[in-house]
Amino acid sequence: MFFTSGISANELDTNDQMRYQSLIQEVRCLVCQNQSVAESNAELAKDLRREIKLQIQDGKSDIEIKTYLLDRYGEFILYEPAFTQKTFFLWFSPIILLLMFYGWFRKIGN
Amino acid sequence: MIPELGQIFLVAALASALFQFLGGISPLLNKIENIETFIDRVTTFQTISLVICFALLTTSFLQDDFSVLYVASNSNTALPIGYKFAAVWGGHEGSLLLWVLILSLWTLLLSKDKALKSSPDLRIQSLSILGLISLGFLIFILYTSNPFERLFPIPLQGRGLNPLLQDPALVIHPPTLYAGYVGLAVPFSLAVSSLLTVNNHQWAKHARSWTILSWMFLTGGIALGSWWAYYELGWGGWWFWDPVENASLMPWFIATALMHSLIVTEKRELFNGFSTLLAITAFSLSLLGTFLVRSGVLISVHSFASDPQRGLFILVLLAFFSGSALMIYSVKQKKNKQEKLHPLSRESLLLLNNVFLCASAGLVLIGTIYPLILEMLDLGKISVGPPYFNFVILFPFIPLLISIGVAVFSNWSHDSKNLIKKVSPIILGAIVLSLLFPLIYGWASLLTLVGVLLALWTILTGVSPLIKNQFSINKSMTYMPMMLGHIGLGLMILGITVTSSYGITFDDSMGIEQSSTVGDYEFRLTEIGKRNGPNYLAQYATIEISKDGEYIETVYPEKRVYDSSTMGMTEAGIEANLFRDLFIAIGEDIGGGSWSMHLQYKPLLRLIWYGPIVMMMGGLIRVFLSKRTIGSSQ
Amino acid sequence: MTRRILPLVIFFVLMGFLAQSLFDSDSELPSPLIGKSIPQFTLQNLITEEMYSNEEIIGEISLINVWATWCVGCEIEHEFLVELSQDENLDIPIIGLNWKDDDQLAKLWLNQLGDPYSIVLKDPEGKTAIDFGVYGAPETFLIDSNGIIRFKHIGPLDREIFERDILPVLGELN
Repeated sequence: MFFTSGISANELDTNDQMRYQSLIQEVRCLVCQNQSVAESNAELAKDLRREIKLQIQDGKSDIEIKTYLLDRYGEFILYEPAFTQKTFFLWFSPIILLLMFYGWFRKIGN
Repeated sequence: MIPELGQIFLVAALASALFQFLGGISPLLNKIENIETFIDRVTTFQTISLVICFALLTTSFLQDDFSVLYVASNSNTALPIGYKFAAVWGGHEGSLLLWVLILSLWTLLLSKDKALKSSPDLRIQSLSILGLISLGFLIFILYTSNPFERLFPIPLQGRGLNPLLQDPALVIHPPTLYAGYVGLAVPFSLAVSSLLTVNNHQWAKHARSWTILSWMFLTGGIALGSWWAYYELGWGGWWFWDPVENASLMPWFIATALMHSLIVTEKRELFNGFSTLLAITAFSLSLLGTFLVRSGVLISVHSFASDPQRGLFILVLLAFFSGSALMIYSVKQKKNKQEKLHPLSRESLLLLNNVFLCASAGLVLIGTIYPLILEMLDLGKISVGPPYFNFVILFPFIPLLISIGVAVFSNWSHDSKNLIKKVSPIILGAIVLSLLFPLIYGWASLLTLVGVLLALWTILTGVSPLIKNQFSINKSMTYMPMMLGHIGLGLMILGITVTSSYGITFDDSMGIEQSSTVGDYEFRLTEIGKRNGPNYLAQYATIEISKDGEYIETVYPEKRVYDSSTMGMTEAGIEANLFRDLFIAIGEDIGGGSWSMHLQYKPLLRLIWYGPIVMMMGGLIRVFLSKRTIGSSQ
Repeated sequence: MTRRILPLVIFFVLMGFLAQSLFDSDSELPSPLIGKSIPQFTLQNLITEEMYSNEEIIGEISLINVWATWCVGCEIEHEFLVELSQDENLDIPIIGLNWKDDDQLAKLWLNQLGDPYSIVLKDPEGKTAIDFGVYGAPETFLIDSNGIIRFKHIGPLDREIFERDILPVLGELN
């Protein structure tokens, strides 16, 4: 609003630019309705983009950057939920659903 | 005066919906011809009333009548006249009015269906059910969401329309999507009506065209929404797996399954129970979609109007309609006709594909509401977004795409002989063609190759009936709907795969006369300026695009600030052809005369929207063909 | 039989969750920093321009309030903060974190509306705010004498919220 924080990523090389683009799409803009920080122009989104870019330049890995965000904002900030006890069913749902529906298919098919 | 007249017609519509419902269950009208005449009249009367209501609300918008609360909240005098029409459905109340108007139009059309007149019981019962649905929503409108409510004191100026909605695609997107959502009420009513009356597979024949029509609208609506999000939301994404998008995708999967299941139910009298359940589910998911969009329980980029009280009302309607339908199903559904299926017969493969489609819808549903459920169980807040959905959707979709092509070569009732011999030239062709892609675009990943291969396999198997008939369009006419449907799907998958694998996104800072290179394309900023729009102020950039030193096009991306809103809007500069999209959006001023710019090169992106158009053409031909065959048989 | 009842059961369980979500959905985000030490920082004092580190501000139970002049909610809660700072029974220092603000505007704000803060540190780039997991001002943290974050409130603070949510935690700490 009052600040113009230079957050263009032109200093990144091609590989880092790709990592940057995919990372910012995985990070939720917490003040927006449902947008990643890549899509939002909110101040917080700009700050987070800048932070992610800086950390990539510092040679941080994707996992380190995600951990950094998780430690501060909690699980809500990442669009890809971690595989834990409470997301067990979520991550196994493709297999569970396919098996369930396959059973159903066999039943109708007979 | 006009708003009061609108109220009166709203009540008139409510009364006729009530009679339309009662007509189906009333023992007073004992002669079947009497009931039919009665129901037809009230159906027509309801439609006329709602058309008048809608016209009156539009008039209030055109007259800038800010004594009407809804007009004052969604329009102002500076709004261009075209958008005043669109503003009629720009908010919650108007959207719902449009919803019931479309429902009444579908009902009227169904009542004119000549073929259905041969089954009067089925017809009366389903019109009655549609009347009940309309009644529910009209009570909802009058009780919580009256668009004609007056406002006092009368403001001098309205609040204006949400700038996101001030866009040509958004003028037709909601009506198209609603036509799809609401259209699914027709197969729903036919299925439930069949359970209550004749209870056989007859309904499938009647439901097919209606399902295809609503499916077409749904397809068009989703594609339009995606196209709009791409150029209007600002950052060049075309699908966000947002709850509102998911809400439209779930009924689409089920409607697609229903469309195919009905073929089997009609032709082979099989899977009647499955088709019935799909018809109920498809409309239930439409209602669920309406709930998710309108209640605000899920945060979404697309949710413009939300209110928990209204959410509760929709939930009650959903629980009532779907709950009773499922209950009727569990009580009335007779055992399926027993027949041992051959695993490679057409009916078996269609069933298998439908199972994959149901699994897809199930996955989207689970991913969409999982955060909600965890929160309700006090397990904290999580986000489930694109990385999750993009991954899990592969599980049903890869086998689905494989088996679609096989199904094309299968026969009804028995295993197809020489199946391997028939499909092997196509597999070979698909493999050879798919190897061209790494040659053109470079190697990306195995998944990319699989995606391209499956897309080409779907397209080639879709084209195969034409090849078999020596390219005679006439001879392959009956296959045309299937062909176009599958070719369209294949094109879309190809677009999705190539654009996600080979697209380049680049954020760069640019000053005047500086340029930036993305892939083979050079973007040169030549000017930054300001201009005044009718109700906004825009910052624009002039950018010249060239490739290998050869000038291609100049685009003018903008950043707009609308008078009625503090929110900035990004209008991207897009230069597109069939093979690639070049996209540029202005970021922020980073000082020193430089601006951050968001640049994209997206190969074959257009196929994502052309594919659905091809699919819709297939649907249109199917509806046309079925009308012709019915006409000729009479 | 189960095959017929199953869709109905799934449907009504789903309805139950959706109905519940209508009534107790909570837009606040729980902070993972509760129970953890405040982050490391070195920030400049808005008024004196001296540098302060996180070590230097801990030592007693205090509130850290994230605010800015561009934030509407901050204006709403400001009067209560001033009231709170003058409450001698409580005697709880309020440390201000001026988030992405303009120095002159911030000073003017404090001159005109009153200064409830024992010290105001400025974070013009928003880096420390990210370390605090701040996503929207105003936000208020309650820290104990060891610098451990005990409670976080998001949104404007008022007496009702203070007495309902913060006083009990204060009671436990004392």
